[in-house]
Formats: sequence, structure tokens, C-alpha cells
Amino acid sequence: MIQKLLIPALLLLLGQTMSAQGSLRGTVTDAETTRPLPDAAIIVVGTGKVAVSDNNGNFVIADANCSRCTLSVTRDGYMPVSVPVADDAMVPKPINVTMKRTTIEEKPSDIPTVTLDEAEAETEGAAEVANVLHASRDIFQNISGFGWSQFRFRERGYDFGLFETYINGVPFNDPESGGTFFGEFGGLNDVLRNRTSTVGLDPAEFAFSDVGGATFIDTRASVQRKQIRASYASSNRIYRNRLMLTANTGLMPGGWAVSASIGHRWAQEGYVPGTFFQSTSYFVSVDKKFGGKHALNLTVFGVPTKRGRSADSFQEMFDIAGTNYYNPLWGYQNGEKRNSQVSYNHQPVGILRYDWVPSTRTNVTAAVYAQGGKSGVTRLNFLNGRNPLPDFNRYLPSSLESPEQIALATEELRNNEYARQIDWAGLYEVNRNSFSEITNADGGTGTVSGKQATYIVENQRSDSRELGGNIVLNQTITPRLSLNGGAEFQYYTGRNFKVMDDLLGADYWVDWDFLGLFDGLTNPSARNSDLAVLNNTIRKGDVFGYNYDENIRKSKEWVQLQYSSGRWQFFAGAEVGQNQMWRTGKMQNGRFPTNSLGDSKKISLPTYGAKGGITWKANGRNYLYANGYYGTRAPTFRNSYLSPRTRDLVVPNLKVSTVQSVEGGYLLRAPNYKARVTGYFTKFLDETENIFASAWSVGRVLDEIDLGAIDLGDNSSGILDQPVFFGAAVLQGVDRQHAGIEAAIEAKPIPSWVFTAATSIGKYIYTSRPELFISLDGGNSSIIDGGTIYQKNYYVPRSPQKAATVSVKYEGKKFWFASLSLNYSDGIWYDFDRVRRSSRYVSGLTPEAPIWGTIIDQQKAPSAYTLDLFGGKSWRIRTKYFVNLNIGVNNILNNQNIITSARDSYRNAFRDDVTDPRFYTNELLYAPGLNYFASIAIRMQ
Amino acid sequence: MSHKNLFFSAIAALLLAVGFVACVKTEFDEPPAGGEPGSLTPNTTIAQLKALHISSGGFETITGDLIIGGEIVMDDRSGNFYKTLSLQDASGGIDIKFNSSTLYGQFPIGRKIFIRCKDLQLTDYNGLTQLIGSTVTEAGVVSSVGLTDAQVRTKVVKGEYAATPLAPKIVTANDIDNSMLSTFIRLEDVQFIKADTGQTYADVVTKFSLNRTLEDCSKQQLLVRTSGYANFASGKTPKGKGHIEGVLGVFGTTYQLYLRDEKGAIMDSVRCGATTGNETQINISDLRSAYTGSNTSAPANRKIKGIVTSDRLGKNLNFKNLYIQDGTAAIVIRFDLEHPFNLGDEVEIVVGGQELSEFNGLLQVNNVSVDRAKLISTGKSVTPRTATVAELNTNFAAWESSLVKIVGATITATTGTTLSGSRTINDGTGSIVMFTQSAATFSGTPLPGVPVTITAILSDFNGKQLILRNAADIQQ
Repeated sequence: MIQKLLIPALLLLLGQTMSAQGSLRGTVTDAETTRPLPDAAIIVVGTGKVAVSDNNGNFVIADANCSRCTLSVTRDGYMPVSVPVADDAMVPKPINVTMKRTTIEEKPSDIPTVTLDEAEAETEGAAEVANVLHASRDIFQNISGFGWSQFRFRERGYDFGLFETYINGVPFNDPESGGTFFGEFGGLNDVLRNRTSTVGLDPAEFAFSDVGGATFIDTRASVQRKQIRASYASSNRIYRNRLMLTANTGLMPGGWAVSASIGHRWAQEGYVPGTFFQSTSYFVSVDKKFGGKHALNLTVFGVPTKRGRSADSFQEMFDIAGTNYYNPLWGYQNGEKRNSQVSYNHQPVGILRYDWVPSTRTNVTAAVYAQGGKSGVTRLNFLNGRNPLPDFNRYLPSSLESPEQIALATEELRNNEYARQIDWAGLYEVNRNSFSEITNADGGTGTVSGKQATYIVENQRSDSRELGGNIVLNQTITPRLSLNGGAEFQYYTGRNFKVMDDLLGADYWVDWDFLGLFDGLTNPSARNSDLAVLNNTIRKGDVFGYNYDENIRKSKEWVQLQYSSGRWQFFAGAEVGQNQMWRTGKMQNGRFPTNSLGDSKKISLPTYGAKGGITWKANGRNYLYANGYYGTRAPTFRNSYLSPRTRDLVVPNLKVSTVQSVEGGYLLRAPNYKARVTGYFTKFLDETENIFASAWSVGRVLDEIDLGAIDLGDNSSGILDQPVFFGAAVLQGVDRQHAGIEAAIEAKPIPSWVFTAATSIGKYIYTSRPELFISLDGGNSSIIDGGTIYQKNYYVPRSPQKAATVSVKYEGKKFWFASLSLNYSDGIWYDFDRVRRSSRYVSGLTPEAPIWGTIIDQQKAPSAYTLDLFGGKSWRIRTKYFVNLNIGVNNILNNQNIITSARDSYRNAFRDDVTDPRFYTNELLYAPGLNYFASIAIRMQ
Repeated sequence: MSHKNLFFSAIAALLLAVGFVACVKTEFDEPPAGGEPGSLTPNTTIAQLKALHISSGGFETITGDLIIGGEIVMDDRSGNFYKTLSLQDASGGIDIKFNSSTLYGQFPIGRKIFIRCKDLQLTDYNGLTQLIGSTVTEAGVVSSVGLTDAQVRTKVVKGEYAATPLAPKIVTANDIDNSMLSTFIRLEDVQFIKADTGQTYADVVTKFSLNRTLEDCSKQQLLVRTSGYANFASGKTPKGKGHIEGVLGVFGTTYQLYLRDEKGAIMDSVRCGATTGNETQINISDLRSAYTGSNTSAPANRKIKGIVTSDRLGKNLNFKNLYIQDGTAAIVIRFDLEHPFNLGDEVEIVVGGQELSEFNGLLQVNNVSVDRAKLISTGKSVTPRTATVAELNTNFAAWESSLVKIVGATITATTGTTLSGSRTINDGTGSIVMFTQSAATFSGTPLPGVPVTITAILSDFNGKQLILRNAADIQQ
């Protein structure tokens, strides 16, 4: 981060002293490619005089007054070099510095790890966030973003939305969920190498970055290394094969530059059984420079991706299947594995960027973008049939009463893979057997008869249309003072609906909702999803179930001042934001006829933020710094609207949450030693959280407050004494506190050896007792106050709270390296069923009862270790051709018992007694065992 | 140059490789219709299997390698059965209990299945034999557990679908016996009893099961039992007569019929003895002359019309009885239930097909459903025929059940001083018995000591007798 502050300052310095006498000059080049290296820092040791190499690798140090001095040359990604200067350089010869890359060609960031967060996908939507793309030049982030991603480590335990991503200046965080969907540019590694990141509360020039930090990806063709590169990679992770082909022209005469990349990644079956992967990536970027002051860039890219998913499951099923990678989402169809949850995403992006450099002091970047396309995931749905999922709680052997039958059922399931997976043939068969006649079908236009589907595969679409832009000004006011500021906006429309994907042999599906069928006793039209077309019969390709738009309008203006004075650097910034959202219903739901159709009221929530920081340079190598932030943010659409699929119902008293954060630390930047230690303390106050609540738990609470949860009764769902709930639950007044220490050190005490160590020790806990609000999908339509949730001091789930790595690396003279890392993680706390932690749930039980702890205690996953090995080598053939080989093996010890995500089960094992410990089950997800990634690239430049 | 060629050749090779191997198969055929039907050869009939259950209410584990096979004749699609199927072969049927619901998807009516019965158990629920998967004992109470999913997968072989589902055996309520339990049967020409028509099959609010009573025209009854969870539980029982089909169950010694669905009861024809509205009116004398001397069926599609001469309010006759008279004659109508018709009502009664019989010598149209009688008007009257006792005795056969008036009649009793009981009427031309029931409103009236004028119905109870209608029938 210091460097990000330093470079502009140095550039300024440079500009001012260009004409001075007694200077040293030289060129920095890449030892391997012999190409000039910009952005290298050249320090005259002992004098504090510094320079930075320009785009041609040239540098000048004015007034060097150096006799027998030493230049220390450092650059990110390269091994530092010390260059002795023999003579008094009053009439200097250019000094040529050659630098070798620290890691050869492929950065760790080029080695994607399995970060597909399936549990996340289940509960919060497909936030496939790859930490690796956030990996930056910061040594801590390099380690955390890579070695710990297998543990699903999140920096400081923060939500994904707190890390911002900008591509060519435009915001790339999803306005709906807040996170960045890195899958949208997977497979484009070759052209996403130019990145700038900030850590924590550090200031950025390109944005008022959020408390997690921000990453700027520059995809302009003119900054892509001129080359043609083709690579093939083999892996056993999400995909088995990857091909990439990239061609960059570099800046050509006439001011043009073109960069293009295509990639294809695929696997008939990934690491997890039944998963497949098929993704094509395309990218084109065209630059045109107009003189020295104006430049235009158009970047278009897209990554159509189709993928068969996996899901978490019960340990009982893992044990029966004999593998912790049991995946309940697939089954055999005609002898081949068919996955029921297939996601498809293709949301191409076009970005038009304009750069204007009116003077050396002023830099303006403006960009507009448009994005849109299809996104969806298929799921099995059913009406009046058995649940088709093979690990449905009531199919588990443990749901039986007698130990003998449990043993027999376990044994049978162990020996019968077909029974552990989806029985596609059975679903077809049921559909073929269900001939029926629908009178007054399709809005009363006639009678439809034929095979009425009991089971279907539906495609739950969430297409988006997005338009946005931003403008950023970087202005040097005085050599010490600079101003950054900007404005950005995002117009987002998320189109949410279901499309019939596969009728599984039936002729039609009727657009009835099973909750509505219950209400149907008193209101026959309640079962219809769309009152405009009663008894709608649905064929392949038809839209049904729900259909609504999420409309989000966001804009933000920010300004930031940075000041440096000798040993001190200061910055201060502020932002204001406008957030507007509303729902547009396109179907009039039979259960909610009065508030499902049309535009909802618009919610407007202004936000603000302010941050500042101070850095003290003890000398050129030791820095102390402290930063602080205070601001508010608007809740996301999904946390604001309860059950938007069926109705316009907003969380009561919706308000902005507050974030307060401070951090402080120490930085060491010596040629052979780099270190960072940072402490942070962040509070999130008054958050609103739409939780995925257990139907059973809410049912019990509703029963206690005597509000009719739907009693499915004896016939339709087995012997249930408990009422069951379907609807939405939201927590209000959630406070959290994330505090901890991050530390990393990289040492090169002996040539060719690099030792690194890093740790993150945090404590992320809830600090309040929020209020539970419930809204029912059937019956009672008002919002029900469910009471207080006692979750104070519970741990925030979803990330290890502790992680550590030690690694050693050898860098050979002949452009090869090998490294070995030992990683450790601990403190993955289970996501817990909030509703259980309420007085109504535990009503009638006492803290002395053994079941008390089972109900309310939060569980923790065991600590885990992995050993990772990496190696690589590159060869140069003639002058223009290069071959690079990289191999990474994660988890060499093949530890298959690493829990990366776990939660209280939302579908309890089939028990009718809340005092029965067997009622409380968990659903788990495990990190892959030994997995590898090997790539070979050939390159011509 | 050669390097350059090599470079581009390598790239071309990579791209080619994509073309060849990068296709990920994600589209799927439909599995063959009906799956692959399995088959086993049964070595035991269902009747033989059921015979192994000997301890009433107890449990027997099947130890032999018994295989039964049959066709599913009852499933849980309508919700009338829950976690239960009925399986039938040529020898009989049996209920099979399962541990999971929504069985009809894989085990619909008409599918043939085979069951390896070894290790399964037999029990009965109040007399209805069931094949179950296992038992569980809680607090000393043994209860049955249906076949688990695992047992279904290992014990049950799904066969083909019958081209024509098994037809029901047509029986009458009288025929029903234990051999028909858990089999598909059909009763023709039956109806719900009057009180159970137009009622819901079960209680959809409390979800309680209910019994409705079925009868045939000869009053043989059978219960129809329906679950509150059946999708037709809120449906109304039909009011007419017709056929009904379902599987037979039993509770203790009471047989119960379970409908597959609402279509199992098609009862839209005329109820036993009910009217069509198109009957031809005949004289009462013609009706009387249709009587052959023994029980006779009244001519079909006939009705009579007349004026009520009996007074049900006087309570001097059975509440099911009615005397009706037209210009030709009179007759007794014996209803199956209490009737609402009053003295002087003009009533039309459909008599076609009804039994004409004598009750202790009195000709009556027997067992007439009340809904066969229609009130035309009220306040009419019949002028009684004034006659001497001698004339009554002479013309009795023609005048039976008609209203007569005797002038100057003396009423005498051997014992007692009131009208109640048998009294002798004498007008000087002869004598005749007059009988008054003790329940009659006027039975306590003292005998008049002087000659009186009597209006009465000329009736018969193993001999001629007069019947008063009310106290006003005696005038001084």
C-alpha cells in the first residue's frame, strides 16, 4: 500500500528534478525477456534518494552525488537487486539493471483453487468468489488469498461485498448481492494480470474503497504485454482441462493496440462426483491513443459457463457413501450421471473507457459499461410427490426407529449407489403414470388432459440488465498534496423468474403452489401463481411460478486528499451514496393478490462514509500506520424484501447499518525482508439479515405464539407433531465485531531461498440480540414479531477465524522454483439456526436438561492442516519463444476430512420430538483432498 | 522460422484438441418408458400368506422364502389410504404397510408387483391382515412399522402395468365375507341411506375419518369409510342409487368399503323405490285388484292420488301408516319411516313396484319410501259412506280401509269404561269391533252411555274392525 502512495509522489518528485545536474540514469530490464521494466523503485542506499523507472524502463536520479554508492532496485514480482555504482557519476554511463522474476511466469494467482462455495450458493445465491483474484502484491494477501482459500478463508471474516472490484474504472460488484462474481471473468487469466489492490482501509486512487479493500483490474490492450501465448492446463478440481490462447499487439503505430483472448475450460466430471464444467471465455480489448493526452478503450468479454453443481449433505450420507464428497444432486439416467442443479451463466460485459491526461498533474478516467445476459440454475421441483432428493432427511436410515432397521437400511444404502442418488428413471416413471385432466385450464379456456408432471426440472433464472459508469479525477495540487475524487452509478434490473426446463416425460405442469393448495380449501384461486392465467398448464420454455424484477439504482460521489510531508503521510476522504430499490411484480399471486403485481414503493436510503489515515516512515524500510473508517450502508435488496418471489413486503423499519473500523500496523520493506503486522477492529451495527430459517424451528416458535403455522398433518408429510413453516425470516439489529491481527513475513536470508510465514488470528462475534420477524408464505399475511434471538457472543460463521502458513521456496538459477507450504486453519464455526436461540424455541426446557446444549451451543469444525507443493520452470528458445511449466499440488497429504462449511440442518432428521438429540443434525461440506493443477504455456513475443 | 512454425503448429494442435475433446455431454435421453419391469415367480398365494397370521393382533415374522405377486388394487393417490397399498391375486388380497407416503408414484393401481416376504411380518389391525416391515417397541407396546425404503428396494420387485386393470368382483352386501378383504369389489344397485346422502365423505376440518352407510333395495347395509385426508373427503355422498366400488376392509367384525376416489361411487339413478315423475295415475280400486292374494309387486310406473283419511295426530294408528281414499276405494300405505301427512291432505303416491301385501288381513302398500309421496293440497275431506253395520259386514271386501259413518250406534265394553281397547258397536243391524289404541289421544274418553253417530275407518286386524281417527268421530 505504501508503494501506491509512493509512486505518484515519486513521479512528482521526478518531474521536478528532471533537469537537475549530477544525476544517475539507467534502464531496468527483465532478465528473462530483456524487455524494459517500468515501475521499478531505485533507491540510492543511505541517501533516501529514489526514482521509479518509466514505461521504457528508464530512470533518472537527480543530484545523486553518488560515489561508490549502491543502488537498491526493487519491483513487485521481481527479486530485488543491489547494483554497485563504481564511479562518481557526474558524467554517468547509463546503468543497466536486470531483474529476475520471483516466480516464474505463472503467479500463484494464476492457479485457481477450488473456491466454489456451494453452501453459499445454496443460501445466498451463487457468490462464487475466488479470493485469488484479490491476491495482490501485499505479502499477506498473497498468502491468504492462495494457501488459505482451500479453507475458504475470508480476510478479517468480512462479507464479500466489503471487497470491491473495478474493471477499467467501473464498479464490478453485483449491486444485488454486493459480492463480485469472479466466475464472470474466469479463464481470462492472461489479460487480467494488470491489477492494483489496496489492503483494508488503505486509500486508493481509483475509488473510495470499501473497508475490505479494492482491486482495480486494467484490461486495456496497451498495457498487455505484447505476445502470443497458448497454454494448456490439466487439473482435477472444478475442471479437468483448460486451454487459453491470447494475442496482444502492444501499442502499435497510429496509437492502436489490440488484445484478444479465448479460453475453454471443461470437465466431464470434476473433483466432486456428478459435477461437470463447461466454460468458454472470450475477450477483446481495443485501444486508441489520440496524441499523448487522450485514449479510448473498448473492452468486451464474456464467459458462458455451464456447470453441474454439488451440495452439502449429512455426515450420515458421507459415511454411507464412503466419501466426504458425496454429492446428492446427481443420478444415473440411462447409465450416465445427470446433475439436477445445472447453472448457466453468460452475462457479457462491454466497457468503454476514456483516459484524459490534460497535464502531468491531472488524470481523468471515465468509463461506462453495460452488462446483461442469462443466469440461472436448474432445480428439481415436485407437486404431490415424494421429495426427489436422495438425501432428504426422511430417507436417512437414522430417521427410522428400530436399531435393526437402521442397520439394515444403512447397509442397503451403502451397497446401492442408485438409491443414494437421484432416481431419474423413477421420476420419469411417476410422471408417465400421472394422467390427469385439468378443467378450466389456462385461464378457463378449456380442459387439458395428459400426463401431468409430478416432477420437473425448472430453471430458476436471475437475468440481469446493468448499466453504469464512473469518472475518477486524480489531481496533483502541490507536490505534497493530491486530490482523488469521483462519481459512479449503477442501474441494475434483476429479472427473476422460472422457466420450465424439463417435464421429465410428462406433457404439462400446472402452475400451482403447494402452499396455495392448502389455502385452496378456503380460497380456490390461492394455489395459482398468476391470477391472470388460472390453472396455467406449463410446457417446456414457459415462464411460471414467479416473475418479478429487482430494480436497484446506486450512485456514489467521493473525494479524497492525500498529503505527504517528509516522514508523514496523511489521507482523508469522504463519500456520499444514494441507494434506491423497488420491486416490480409481473404476476398476481393467488395467495397475495393485493401486493404482488406492479411496482412497489421505492425505497431510498442515503449513505455516507468517511475515512482517514496516517503513515509514519521511520526510514525507507520501516513504516507505522493507522487508518480509520466510519460510514453507513444500505441493506441489499435480498435483505430488504421478504419473499420477493411472491409479494412486495419490506422488512419493517428498514434502515442503513453502520460500519466502524480502525486498523494500525507496522510495515517492513527491506531488500531481503518484508513484513507486515496489522491489527484491526471493525464493528457492524444495526444490520438487517434475511436468514434462511429452519421450517421446523420457525414452526415451533409460531406454535408458541399461537399463530397458525401450516400443520401439514398426518397425511402429507408423515407423523409430524410440529407445525411447519414456509416463508421468510429476517433479523433486525444484528451487531457484529470483527477484531484480529494479520501478520506476514517474507525473508530471503540466503540467495535463492525464500521463507515466508503468515498468520491471521481473529475473533468475529455477534454482539447484539436481534429481533426476529417472520412472514408466512401461506395464511397469515402480516409480519410476525418472533421475539429476541439470543445470539450475543456467537461466532460469525463462514470463515476460519484462525489461519497460518509457513513456507519455504527455492529459486533456481535456471529459471525454476519449488516451494513447500504448510497451512493451518481453525475456528470454522458452524452457521447456526438463529431461531433455535430464542426463548420460544426452548420453551418448556431447562438449562439443566442435556438437550439444552444440543439446541443452543454453536459447533466448531476441527482444525485442519494441509501441505502444498509448487514448482515451475521456464525455458527460452531462441530469443522469442518461451515455454513455461507450472505444477501445483494442494493438500499432498490428501486430508479428506477438512470441513470448510457447516450449518445446523434446516431440514432436521425426521424426528417428532425437539428433545430428541437426533432431531439436531448438521449439513457439511468438505475441502478436496489431494488436488493438482499443472500448466504448460508457449509464448512468442 | 521453423520455431515459428512449430509454435503455430502447437497452437493449432491445442485448438484442434478443444474441438475433439472439449465437448461436455450435458443433454440426456429420456429413459425407456415404464423402466425395465421386473418379474418373479410367486410361490405363495396371498391367501396362503394371510393364513400364516394366526395370532389375532400379534405379529409373525415370515421365515420362509415366500414370494407373492399380484396387482395393486388400491393406492394412496386420493389420500384415502395412507402409506398403504392393497395387493390382490386370484386367491385374495392383502394390505401392505409402508414407512413412506406418496406411494402411488411408483406403485399405482394396476401395477403388478412381487414381494419377497422373508423377514417381513404379518399382523392385523382389528382383523384386517397386513404385511408390514418390522415392529418397534416403545414402553412395552409393540407397534408396526411399514416397509422402509430400503426394504422396498430389496424386497419389492416392480413389474409391468396391467394392460387392463383388474376389474372389481361384483358382489352384494349379503355376499361379503373375509375372503374378499383387501380386494377390489363392486356393489350394484346400492344407495346411501337417506340420512347419509348429501353428506361429506369425511370431516375435512378435523380430518377425522367418517363412516357412511350404504344399503341396497332390500336394506342390506355396508359401511363406506373415508379418511379426512382423502382428496374427496369434502365431496358429498350421492343421493341416488347406483354402483360403488372400492377395496374391502374390516374393523372387528364390521366390513368397510374404501373408495379409491370419488369416481368409485356412481349413484345417479332413481333410488330404491323412488319416483320418476312420469308415472301413470290409477284408481285405488285398480291397485287393490292387482293384489293376487299373496305378496304382489304393484304395477310398475303407477301412482295413486287420494285424500288422507287417517289422522296421525290422533295417534290411533302406527306412525308409518296412512289411509288414503279416492272416489273408487281406499288403501293403507305403510311407509318405511314416519310420514308427515295429515288428515285431509291430498297426496300422490308412487306405488309402482311396491309390495302389495296383507298385514293381519289388511291390504297395504308396504315399505313405501316417504319421498314417493307428494303433497298436492291440504284441507280436503272425504264424505264418509253412511251405512249400517250389516252393510259394512256385507261389503267389507270392497269397502276395506274406507271411511264409514254409522248412525245410532251403541258402544259396549266387556271391561273398562273408556274407548281404549276393543269395543263392540251395535246399531241394531249387527255388531262390529272398534279398536282404539291406548296411545290414542282420545283413548281415555268415557264410553258414551247413549247411542251415537260414529265416523271411522273400516279396517282389518285378523277380522273386521273400526278405527276412530280422533275424538270428534263420536257425535251424539
